[in-house]
Amino acid sequence: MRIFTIAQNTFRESIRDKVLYVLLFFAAVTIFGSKALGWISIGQDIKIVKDIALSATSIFGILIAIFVGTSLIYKEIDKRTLYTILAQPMQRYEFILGKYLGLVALLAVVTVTMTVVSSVYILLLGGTLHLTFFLAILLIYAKLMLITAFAVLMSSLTSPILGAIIVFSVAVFGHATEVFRDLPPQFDGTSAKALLEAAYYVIPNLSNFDLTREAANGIDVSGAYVVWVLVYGLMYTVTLLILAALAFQEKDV
Amino acid sequence: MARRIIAAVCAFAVFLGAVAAQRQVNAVRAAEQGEEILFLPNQKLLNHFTGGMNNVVADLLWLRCIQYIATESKGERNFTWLNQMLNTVVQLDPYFGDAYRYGGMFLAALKADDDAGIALLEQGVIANPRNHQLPYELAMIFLLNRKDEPGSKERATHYLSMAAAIDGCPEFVRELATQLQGQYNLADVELAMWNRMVDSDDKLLREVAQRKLIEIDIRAHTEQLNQAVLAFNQRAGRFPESIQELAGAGIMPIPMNDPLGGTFFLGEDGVMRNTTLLDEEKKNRLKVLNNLLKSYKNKEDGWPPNLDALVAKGLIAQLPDHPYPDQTWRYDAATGSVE
Repeated sequence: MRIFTIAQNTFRESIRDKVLYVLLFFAAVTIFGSKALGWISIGQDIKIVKDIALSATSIFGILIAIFVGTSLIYKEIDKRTLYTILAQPMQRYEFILGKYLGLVALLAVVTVTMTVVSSVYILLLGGTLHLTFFLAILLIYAKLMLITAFAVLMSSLTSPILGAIIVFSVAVFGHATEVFRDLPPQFDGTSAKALLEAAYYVIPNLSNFDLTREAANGIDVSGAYVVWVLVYGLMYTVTLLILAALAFQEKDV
Repeated sequence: MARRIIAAVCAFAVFLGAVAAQRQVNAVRAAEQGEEILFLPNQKLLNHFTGGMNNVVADLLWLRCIQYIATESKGERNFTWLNQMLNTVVQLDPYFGDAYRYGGMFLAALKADDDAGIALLEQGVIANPRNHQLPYELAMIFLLNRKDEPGSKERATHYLSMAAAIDGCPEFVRELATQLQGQYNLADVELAMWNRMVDSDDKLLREVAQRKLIEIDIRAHTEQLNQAVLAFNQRAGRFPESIQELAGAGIMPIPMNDPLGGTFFLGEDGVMRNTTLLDEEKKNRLKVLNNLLKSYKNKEDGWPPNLDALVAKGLIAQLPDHPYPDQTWRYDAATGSVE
């Protein structure tokens, strides 16, 4: 119940954040503007609109998670509201979990809004929507949940700006983790290979969540793949939330 | 107030400076057109470092590719970087069916690099087994570009049958597959293909198709003129000495004005030819020769001493003749250039 109250307040607070509307505005402009690129694409306008709609949902979702998520705890300390909350009979992990759930609820609203807008736009342009399009959005949302958990962890550990830089770097390199595993033969038997392979598993593998190619081209994906990616996302997210709760437990406020 | 006006004027002046600088940047870039593909990272790495935006990067590169084709079509028509651009696009988005389809067509029809077109389309067939357009385009390359090669009709039939077997395949492809197995007419096949493309919504495709249809008309007219030459020969027991003599005999069809600016002429061998068709054929054969010369240089680390070395090294069975009957290829072994 206490977690739910904090989540509700976080949601209300975040939805008033001007950054959210600025990002949503740019996301909408990007999606609607994508039609212009389609004019010179030899009949690929719908594909391009789908690609850009999915990428905008992903990238603007990540930006919202970063900008709002990394400042969650800092704002409470800055406004001194944290002391009032912690004075209540409440565990610190409940506070962290409530904050996280409030933010992922906000991201759910953002993702659903962008999905509805993109879908209507694509249908109005004469395109069709394949099931993979919605599965791609589901996985984008799972990715945003993971990144938000990482942002909450950083929010417990460091300042908003440094946290935002770290989360953004992880969001970018998380899409390139395959390079750590796909090493040239000269790495065979070296300690660097073991280190990079460890990094492959430590850094969240965000490319798992990327179904945009299949979605934009109407290619079927296996249900097992989607389920395993969701399991991976959930496991990783829970790990990050436990670390965030531990970090906040130790934080001297 | 005066300060504000001065500030606004200064801002405008600086802005004009920025516009001038941008124009300079464009001028420098124009000189290096196409070379920017050199600065793209390795295709495999590019796939990893798009931050999950592979598709958007593929789309943007595809648009750049179309602009490149349009620019090259109006200029040198070398299409040097087309193959690499297309490969990068499909590496980023292996399901991008139209990049394989149009890319294969452009490589074969515009760059005259059938091998690259076939390789791209075959890669596309593997990645997109439900796309009937890719085997169809492969069949077209074997039917039209490689019609004289042994086994090409069998491979075309194979790919057409593959296309016909895929759900959603249009009826004309199935009919074509059937037609190919019996007695077919290549000219009709080509005419039908470009006629379908001339109705495309895309300006570039329409222009390419319109030009190809005009070329078909010119070919047909050249054929009629050659029939007239034969009729003259049968009547007079010799070939006419000029088009005027042929016209004077009253057996020449109504002369056609070549809309592409070429002219019809009568060769010493008594064959009517058209310069537009010959120039187009010359460009295509030059591209083939240049590709072979580059392959030779890559293998042997130097230009061949003469063009016959390409045959000696097994890069081609026979050198293509110069399309103009009274001309030969001029090759410079120092620079590897052929004219």
